Amino acid sequence: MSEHDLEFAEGRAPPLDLPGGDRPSSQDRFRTLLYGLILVLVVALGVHPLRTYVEAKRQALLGRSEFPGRRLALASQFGFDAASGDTVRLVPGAPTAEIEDLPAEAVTLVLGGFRGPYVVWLWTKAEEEKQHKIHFDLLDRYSKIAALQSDYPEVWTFHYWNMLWNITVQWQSPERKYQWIRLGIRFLREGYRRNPHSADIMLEMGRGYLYKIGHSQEAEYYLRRVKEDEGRSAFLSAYEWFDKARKANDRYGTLHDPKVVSYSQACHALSYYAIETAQDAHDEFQASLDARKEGREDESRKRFQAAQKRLADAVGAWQWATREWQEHIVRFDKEGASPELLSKYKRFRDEADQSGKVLDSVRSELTYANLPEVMPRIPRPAITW
Amino acid sequence: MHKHADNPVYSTSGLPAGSFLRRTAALALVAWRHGMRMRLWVLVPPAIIVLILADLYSPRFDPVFEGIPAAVSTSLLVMTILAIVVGIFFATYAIPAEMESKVAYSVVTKPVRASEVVAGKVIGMSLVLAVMLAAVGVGAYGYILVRASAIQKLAAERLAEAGPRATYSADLNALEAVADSGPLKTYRYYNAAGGPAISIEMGPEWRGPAGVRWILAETGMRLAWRLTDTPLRQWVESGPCRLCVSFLVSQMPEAQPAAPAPADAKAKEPEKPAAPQVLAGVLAAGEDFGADTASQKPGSPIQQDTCDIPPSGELVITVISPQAPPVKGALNLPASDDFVLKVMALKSAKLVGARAGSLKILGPQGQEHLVAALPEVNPAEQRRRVLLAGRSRLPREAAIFRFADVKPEWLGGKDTAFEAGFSLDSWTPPNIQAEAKLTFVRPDGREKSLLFHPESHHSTVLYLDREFWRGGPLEARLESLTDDDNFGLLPESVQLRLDAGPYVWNFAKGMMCVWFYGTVLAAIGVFVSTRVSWFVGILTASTLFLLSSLRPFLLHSTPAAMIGAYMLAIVAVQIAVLLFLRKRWALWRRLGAVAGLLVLSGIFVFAAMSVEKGPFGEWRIRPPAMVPEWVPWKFFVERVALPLPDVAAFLPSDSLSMGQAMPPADLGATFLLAALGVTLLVAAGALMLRNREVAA
Repeated sequence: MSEHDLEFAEGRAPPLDLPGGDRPSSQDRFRTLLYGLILVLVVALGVHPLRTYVEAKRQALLGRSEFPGRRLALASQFGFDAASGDTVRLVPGAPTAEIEDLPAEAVTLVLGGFRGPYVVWLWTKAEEEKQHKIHFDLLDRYSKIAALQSDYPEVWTFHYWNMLWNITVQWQSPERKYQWIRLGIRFLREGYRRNPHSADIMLEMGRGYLYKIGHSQEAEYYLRRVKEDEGRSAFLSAYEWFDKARKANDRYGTLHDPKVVSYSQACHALSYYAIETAQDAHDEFQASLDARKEGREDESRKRFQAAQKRLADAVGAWQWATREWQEHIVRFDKEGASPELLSKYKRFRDEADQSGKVLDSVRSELTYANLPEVMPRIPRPAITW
Repeated sequence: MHKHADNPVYSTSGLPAGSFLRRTAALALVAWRHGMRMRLWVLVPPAIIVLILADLYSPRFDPVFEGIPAAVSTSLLVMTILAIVVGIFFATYAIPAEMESKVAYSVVTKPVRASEVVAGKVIGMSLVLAVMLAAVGVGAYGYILVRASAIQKLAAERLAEAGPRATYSADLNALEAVADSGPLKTYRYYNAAGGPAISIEMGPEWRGPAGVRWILAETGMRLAWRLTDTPLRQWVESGPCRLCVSFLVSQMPEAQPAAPAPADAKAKEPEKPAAPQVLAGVLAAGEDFGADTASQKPGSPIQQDTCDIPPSGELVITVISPQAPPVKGALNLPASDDFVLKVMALKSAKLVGARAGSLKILGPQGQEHLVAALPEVNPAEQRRRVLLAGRSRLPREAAIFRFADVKPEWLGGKDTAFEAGFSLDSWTPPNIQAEAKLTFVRPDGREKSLLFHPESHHSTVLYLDREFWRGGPLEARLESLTDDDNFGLLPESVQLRLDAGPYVWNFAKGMMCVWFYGTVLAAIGVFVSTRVSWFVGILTASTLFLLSSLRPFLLHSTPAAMIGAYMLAIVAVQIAVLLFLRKRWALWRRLGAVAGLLVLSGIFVFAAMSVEKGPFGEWRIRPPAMVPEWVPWKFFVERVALPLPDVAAFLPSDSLSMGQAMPPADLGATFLLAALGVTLLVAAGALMLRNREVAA
């Protein structure tokens, strides 16, 4: 036993200080504070370039030219979007998160590494069931695949295409076919919500309206149903989606198809809208004439007024189409598109212009009294492809 | 060092006391208790919850008809995942856990064989899995019952909505059945005895001659006379022969009177009716009419031609030898020994018929031969389907399905269901809704017709009153009522749906299949764990499971087959080198051998690909899509990939989810296959376990 221990045992010496048992002195506190300040300074010096340079570059790559908001760089991926008017995103660059996304996001996280094999299995089963025309699980499989791979626009467009083209053909009745088309549109709308910058998705949506609804064998039925369900022409919806795709690509560069042809789809959609409106006007005038022949004067006048409105719409639509074609030609002339394509587009523009002028001249001289004489001159253009 | 093989039990001089079954059962009980101690049953409630949520949140195209199949499919999927988890993760745990906890020391000293140990582990795990699946199955079936009740209500609502708008009441048969007695029905198919037989439905006012085989224009029907046994081939060598056919041409009675001519129409001269025309051909048996005669290459033999039937009805066709140069107005006999005369009515001919003995063969020297048999009536066919042409008025083509004696006790309690499923002509204009008529004819001649709108590729279920038919023979006559439309028919296009017992029993069969699947996976897991640690065991079992699951894909996809075979080779090589050379070679030598074998395998795989020189002289690999059929490679792939067990074969098919009963023979076959697989794996596992070192 040491001397100190003896003394301690006899109560004559205080206990030895245990190692590390000192209370911090004021010098230590000062040192700690100093270290803390240095640390904050280092972090700030590291974060500031992230905020000003790295984040700005990241936003530029995403296609946004606005300067990031006044938040820390790591948090600016949230703040920037809020500063630029978008709503909060859970993941940088990701679309708006809704509470309905929670189950899918939770499942994705819980699956962890098993997400890959599960998705592969889903793809295999979905294709197998499509080939064998087993439909009871197909929609569910497509939804699950899209939920697990929601960041890939190709996944959404692939299954949308399947629903609109490959599955509708496995049914006979137009109602069932249309039901699948509506499901496909709803499906791709969800894809658009999750990938709001994807021009590919917007382009595909437009193509669905233009080609599947507007051009297929069952087009007459589909166009009528779309008008009933959405309250507007399918060609107009197609134009809007194509226009969105153009703007999204100009901003974010997310289109994978050739630009000149893809951008021209909007102009085509508008031309078909103009044709459809002209057809409606012609049919209304014809109905007015038929009512007049049968002695139903009131109805004839009402139809004539409706037809005049439609005719004005048709003239406006042709003028709009002409402007669109002109803008398209000017733009891609500057961008060096091939002369053959440009001459084709000029022909479309001239046709649109001519159609608009013909209708306009008819409109200027048309009255209720001279409708029977003018009727043969009111064209009923056909939608040709 | 001690291992199972050191156990005197393994000496061949005497057998251990007690029976194999008792010892295995005891070890199985131990494994069962081990499984219970591991709290595996904790997985049951989350599995039920996941199943319910997954089904509730899944979108369906048609909840009434797809709701129950989807719920059953989801239940079986969740059970399958449970089986995979138990088979791969928990079955691989038992033996390595015993090794690590030194329990294996005690086991090795006991008078038990390695095969009993392995079998006991597999059976124990299988029992644990059976109990878990039974619990999940009970929960799942409870959920299915609740869904079924909701679907029945939904069907009743839809029926109330659709009923007034339906064109034909038979279109709502399936919906009525669901609304009436719920969607939980199982069935099995009873097919027609051969068929479909093609005939013409003439209508009740037809008064044509008897003993005549008729064909209808624009339906593709053909009259066919087999000429193989006639002397035509010998006669034609010595000169042109003539085939004289006596036809009956009938103008069809119109179902509706012709529309009256408008008052201001100018009187026109009556049009001369066109001469009835037929397409006639002498063709090899099994062949059909080819392209238009006019588009045939000049100089090629003429085997078919369009002929006018004269007013007398006697058509004369000149036939010359196959080697003779083609002559307009004559047909070349085909070179094959078996040949037929086929005749198809064209538009102007309307209804053409022939009796027995209507074909006479006249030789070049004046010989005569009468073909006494009635001609056959062949339908148009496309891609192995019989085409049934549609016509809105009589007479029209009909397909007859004959059901042999059906026992009344097979029919079940309520009305009898028939399923009509066929492909519709994809070229029919879409604004035309196809219409069909199915007429049931009893042996006493009484008929009952059901009109409906068929759906392409999707069956229509129609119900026949029990008062009309209570069993016995029955004929079902299918007609297409849509002009210019064709139905593609197979022998099973019209089937009888027989009641197949309670739904719960079919569901239980599905669960049993999943149990067999899980047992095989457990056997794979135990087999693998007899030699390696738990983690390596999980990896190996997972690899084998994945490769087995992808087996069909591997077999049919050349690049993937290469990768799959390569992976399998890696696993096999590693197991072989690490296990069997363990005692003889040092570690560095074994690793070197593995590396060398991997390199060799890689070279082999590389050599299997097609290597070519590009346009600039560079060496490059031809894209996989253009890899030619290299026989040695094909042999390797088929022999390497093929031995992988097709584990997916144990799982029930989608038809079970859709209500089709699984035949007991299929269940028995699945059981036997599983038993065989498990036995082989147990034997292999026992061999591996015998030589495993338990302690130093």
